[in-house]
Amino acid sequence: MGNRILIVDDAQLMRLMLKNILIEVGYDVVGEAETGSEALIKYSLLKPDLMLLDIIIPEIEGNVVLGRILKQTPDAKILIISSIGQRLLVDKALKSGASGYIIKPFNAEDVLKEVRRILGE
Amino acid sequence: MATDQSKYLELFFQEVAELLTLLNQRILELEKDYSNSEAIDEIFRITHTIKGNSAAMGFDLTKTLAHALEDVFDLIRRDKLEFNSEIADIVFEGVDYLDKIITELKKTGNETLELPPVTNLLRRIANGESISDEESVEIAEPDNSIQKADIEKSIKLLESVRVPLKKLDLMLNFIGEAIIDISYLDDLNAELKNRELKDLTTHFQRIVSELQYNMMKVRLLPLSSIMDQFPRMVRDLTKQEGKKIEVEIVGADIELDSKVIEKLKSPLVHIIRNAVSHGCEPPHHRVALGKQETAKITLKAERKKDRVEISVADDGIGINAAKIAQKAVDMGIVAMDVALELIDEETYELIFEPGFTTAKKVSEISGRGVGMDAVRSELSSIGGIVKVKSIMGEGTSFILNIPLSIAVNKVLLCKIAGKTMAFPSSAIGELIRKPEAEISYMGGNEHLHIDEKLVPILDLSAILYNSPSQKDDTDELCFIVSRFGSRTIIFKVESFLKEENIVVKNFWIPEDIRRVSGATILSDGEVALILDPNEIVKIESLKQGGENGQG
Repeated sequence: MGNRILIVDDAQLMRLMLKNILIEVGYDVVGEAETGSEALIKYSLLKPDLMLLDIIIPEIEGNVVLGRILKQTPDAKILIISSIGQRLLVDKALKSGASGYIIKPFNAEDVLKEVRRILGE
Repeated sequence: MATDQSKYLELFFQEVAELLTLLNQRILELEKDYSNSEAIDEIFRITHTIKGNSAAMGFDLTKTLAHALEDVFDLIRRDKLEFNSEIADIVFEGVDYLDKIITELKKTGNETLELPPVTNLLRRIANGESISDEESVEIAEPDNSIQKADIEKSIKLLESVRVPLKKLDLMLNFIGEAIIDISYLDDLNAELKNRELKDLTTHFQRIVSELQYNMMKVRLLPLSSIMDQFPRMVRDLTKQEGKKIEVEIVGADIELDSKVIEKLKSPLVHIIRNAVSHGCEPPHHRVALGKQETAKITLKAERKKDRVEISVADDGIGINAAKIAQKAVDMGIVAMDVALELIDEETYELIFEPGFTTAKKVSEISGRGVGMDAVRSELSSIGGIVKVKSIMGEGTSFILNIPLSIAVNKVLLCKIAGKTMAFPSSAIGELIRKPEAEISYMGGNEHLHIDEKLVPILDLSAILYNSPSQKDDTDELCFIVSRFGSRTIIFKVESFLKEENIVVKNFWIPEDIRRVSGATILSDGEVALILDPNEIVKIESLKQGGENGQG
């Protein structure tokens, strides 16, 4: 029942909002990343219990990042962040093994519900 | 649904301002090369991010417009739609409206503007409908309300805070008072003659001085914060006038006090608009004159000792002195016999007279004629001046000179005669290391083979301190290659240390010390002189009688 979370989103505003939602209830945001490559590096350095991953990010696509991490760590817990209109990408992510998804704009309850569910609380 | 968003407002505006600037830049790039898939992907991501951010903040209008733009680029990146110039115009209009809505939001806290008609055009494009020419909307004129939002953009670090200028000025005032107090302390100690107190006061003085300079540095903004929008502005103007003009910007990373930057915007916009409507000829005209079809406007910023020189140069038609003189006489600005006595430079000055205009009709974009008197008065409010140079048939340059109380510049620190000195990075073409064996001698001077020429070497240690450069442990010598116009010059230094952004401390430099343009305090407290490579080359050329640069 870990609580170490890595947030990956290229919008600073989004990262800040999510971080605030999570730390308010006691989760530990151990890192943030803005691009696909940064996400891969930080994931292997920090080994978080959960990674929040925006499906649209620069440098390396969200789904590619998802695939690579799951290949190395098959039981990795990854929550996809998406905007409306990316249905296809989200479906693909879920099929590849993502643990769940949330759609922007989100509110604190929805985010926490998914996070708790995935972390098995 | 929207939780307390007020604490996120500042970050939202800061981020969206950066995103909009990037967006404009990328679309401009895409316009030059429709196959630029990186630009397409980035444009898609930026519009996607703006949509997401504004949705999270509850800004529906912004979200909807951003969504419409995003959909268009989603199709383009999936190769379901091809980018073309009609789409470019419509997209630019969409981006401009986004800017307007956000500026309004910032001012009033509400999205009071309505969803613009361009939104439907974008939606139709995303639906695969083609837009006929008549429906393409007119190019929106860049609004001056964009001005404030851009000036308020702070440095691009990820972690930064936005501080109102008033707060900074308040803090600077306190520091000013502290400096005065310390100097009283010093005076008091002159009587007490307490050694420890003296050391403490000196240290204190140094700290407060550093504090002052660093705070003044915080007020600095790069010129690019106003110049970044010029390519887009020129693009829109030239489309309206049917001209082809390319913009080149050099040296925009120079940082100036934000108040100065604010005052520069309007004069520069004016001068550039002038260059576009009166300076540059239409493409067919240029071709007929044997020029390249696309005219060029070059904006160049250069730091010179205690001022910044900004030039706006076009390769257009130049100023017709006779026409100016005639017009001035017609308008009663100057008497005929006086006008006849004026040389060209003096005639150009006439355009700065209030009410002067040579426009045959009130041109839509430049307003009533030139308005150059406004330019001059805006500049003089910051102590700046403007001069005009022109050659008929070849082009015109407007040269602005703005004094600085402080400036920040990028320099390369090097060892010269055992001392650390600063060489302006703007004058560096490349840095090379060569073994002594590669130096050749010609006419008693050292040369290196560069650019397929034998280029003379100027040994800075010898020039400045009369003793030749010492070699370091390695076998290789260090050289800075600079290019001044068509000339290549090589400077020899003892070693390269590092590149740094330095704050230039202004002190009075006697006019006859030309080789040095200022000084800075390094992090270890030592003073490093800043070299003026231009002047050094000039002085050496005069000495050697112009042998330099021969192949």
